[in-house]
Amino acid sequence: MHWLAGAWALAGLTVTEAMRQRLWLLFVVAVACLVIQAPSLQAVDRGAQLKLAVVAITGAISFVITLLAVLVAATALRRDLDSRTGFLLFAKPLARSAYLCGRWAGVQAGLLIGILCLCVVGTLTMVWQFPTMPEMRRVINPAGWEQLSAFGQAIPIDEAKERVQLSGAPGNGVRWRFTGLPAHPPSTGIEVLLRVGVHGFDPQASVEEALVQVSALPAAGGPDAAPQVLAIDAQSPYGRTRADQPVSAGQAVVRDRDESRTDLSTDYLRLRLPASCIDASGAATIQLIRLESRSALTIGRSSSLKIAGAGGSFFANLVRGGLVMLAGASLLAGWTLVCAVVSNIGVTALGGLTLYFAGCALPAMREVITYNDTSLAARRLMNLGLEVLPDFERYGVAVRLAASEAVDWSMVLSAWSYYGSYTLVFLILAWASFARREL
Amino acid sequence: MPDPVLRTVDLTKVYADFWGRPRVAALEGLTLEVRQGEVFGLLGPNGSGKTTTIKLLLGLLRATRGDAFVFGRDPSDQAVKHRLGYLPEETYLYQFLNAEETLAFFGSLFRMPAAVLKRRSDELIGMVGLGHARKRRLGEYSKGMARRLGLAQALINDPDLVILDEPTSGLDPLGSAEVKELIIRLKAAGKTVLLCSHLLADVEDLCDRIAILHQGTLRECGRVDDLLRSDDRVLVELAKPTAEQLAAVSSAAGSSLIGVAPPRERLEAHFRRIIKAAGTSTQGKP
Repeated sequence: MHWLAGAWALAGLTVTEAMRQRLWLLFVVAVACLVIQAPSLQAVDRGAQLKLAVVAITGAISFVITLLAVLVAATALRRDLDSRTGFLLFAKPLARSAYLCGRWAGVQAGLLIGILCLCVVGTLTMVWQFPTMPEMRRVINPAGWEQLSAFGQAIPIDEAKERVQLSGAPGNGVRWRFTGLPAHPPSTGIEVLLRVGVHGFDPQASVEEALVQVSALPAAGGPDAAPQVLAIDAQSPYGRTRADQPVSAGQAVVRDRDESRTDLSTDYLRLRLPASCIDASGAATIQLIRLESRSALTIGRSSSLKIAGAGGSFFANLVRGGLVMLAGASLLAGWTLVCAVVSNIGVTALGGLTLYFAGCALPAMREVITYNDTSLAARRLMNLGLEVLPDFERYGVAVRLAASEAVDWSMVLSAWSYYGSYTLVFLILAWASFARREL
Repeated sequence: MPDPVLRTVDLTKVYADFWGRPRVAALEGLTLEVRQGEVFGLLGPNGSGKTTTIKLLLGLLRATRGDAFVFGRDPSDQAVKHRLGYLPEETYLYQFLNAEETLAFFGSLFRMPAAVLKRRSDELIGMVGLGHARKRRLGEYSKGMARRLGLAQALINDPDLVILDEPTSGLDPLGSAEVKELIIRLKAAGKTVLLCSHLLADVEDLCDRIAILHQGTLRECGRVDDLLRSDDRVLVELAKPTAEQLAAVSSAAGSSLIGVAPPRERLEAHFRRIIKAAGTSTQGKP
């Protein structure tokens, strides 16, 4: 209990110090300015401006908490050591582990308050600037998939394959298997989102859309039962017309949307999965069949078809996204404490930010390794980096929120367990160094 | 005899460089004891090893050789720190807190109940004369005010052992006198005080025993009266004596008269008297 009292006191002290420095005000004003500025930025439409505003808010939160995690942790510990306040502190019944944990927890608490402030300010300015807020969707990705031949034969797809291309005679397609769906969905059914890449074969003629049929196997009736065609949602951004001509019942028009088009509101064809196609265990099978031969379809394992549910308010998702980013910042604070114990303030700040930038460079490292156009030593170094460095781009909160995809609690938990394991290692390292240190 | 509150046996500290090679021997074979209820003075010029000794007694440094015991335990033991108060040579407090918050923070490290902490905090703020500035941030404090608050934080847990490193540093003569009175009160309450000071007059006034360190080595240790006693001279006080009377006293004692001078008041007593008189004469004036 004494340990906890010490850690609690230090955490409170850290928050008080951060608050009295009034750095938050600066950032709150900066975020408000960014969001107010968003509508005047170059964007194709109002939706794109909305996305810019979302990216501005999440980017600002990420920037602020990264910077503050490093600076607050570094200055708090280094100042105590350099100004000899440590003499006073450790002459009291305060364990060094309690001091470190208290400082770390205080940084997290301070950042959490900052995140909440930025979320409130960001959301309010968005409400003020835009007539509608992003409609957030919580998505379920397929549990498995298989290819369908033009004769309706199911062909397993190699596990390592992320994308397949469908071409040739019409009638072939892909079938996805979903699990974990609500066993008792609403009578209107569940939203299904479809996005595929469409390519023509003739370089002279641009082909940007294709006719398909999307259907689901009924839950009752076994594998031989006739698939039930999914109706296009009234709110779907496209699907019903082809070159301004309506299509027949049971058909849908998919437009070319490559992997960079991820907005759940505008890039996906929306369909309704009826309750009768979901079995008692919450599983469903949905298939896509090509209806014409003039185009090829590129289909992704988890990116092409998703089941969507209501994802809650934008503010709630922004806060959860903030918590994911906070998990990354907690790691940085832990690492900064390690640096602060063993070195001076300059090296500490540099060390903290270096880890962040190295962690952000992991996607670039993966790309370089994939292209195999660098020296063996550099490749080995990058492979080592990929093994040991934390990936700060792992959860892509900004991209996710801009694409109207909900950040759910499972992602927050996942982020805290991933970054938390690093944090734990860093805090133990900091303690091991600090316990040996004489004041 | 009860166990000493502080005990060091052959306590040695050699500072090493980054590679672990010995660099400076700050303290060499210090062996001493401080008993309960004593005011013990640790004297020595700069670099004599006083601060190193204190840090070893607080568990902030590890001894190269020898042992230190506080209340019979290792100084790094958390139980020891519950019974100890420490005022460092310079007041290293958080500038963004005010006096109340500072005491609340340090008190919370002892897990003191909120009501007790509040009462103790009020009492100490009043005692060190900071009642008027209790809500002001420490960044706005003068050096003397910060020193007073430092003293208050050292006493927040009502410690059995108080280690005071230059407690009157930065204080005006009145403040110094108050600190000295406080130390006397602590002694009267049965507390043990380890006092480090360059101000020999303070040490002489307050300490029961002293240890003199020089270049990391204990040069002398004992009761102040014993150490300062001069057996070859006698002080005789006479009211306005004539030359004949002085000669008579000298010849009666069978000794030579070394010098005759009127007794001098100590500057501190003189200063306090002047300030007190000025305070009395200005009472009632707007």
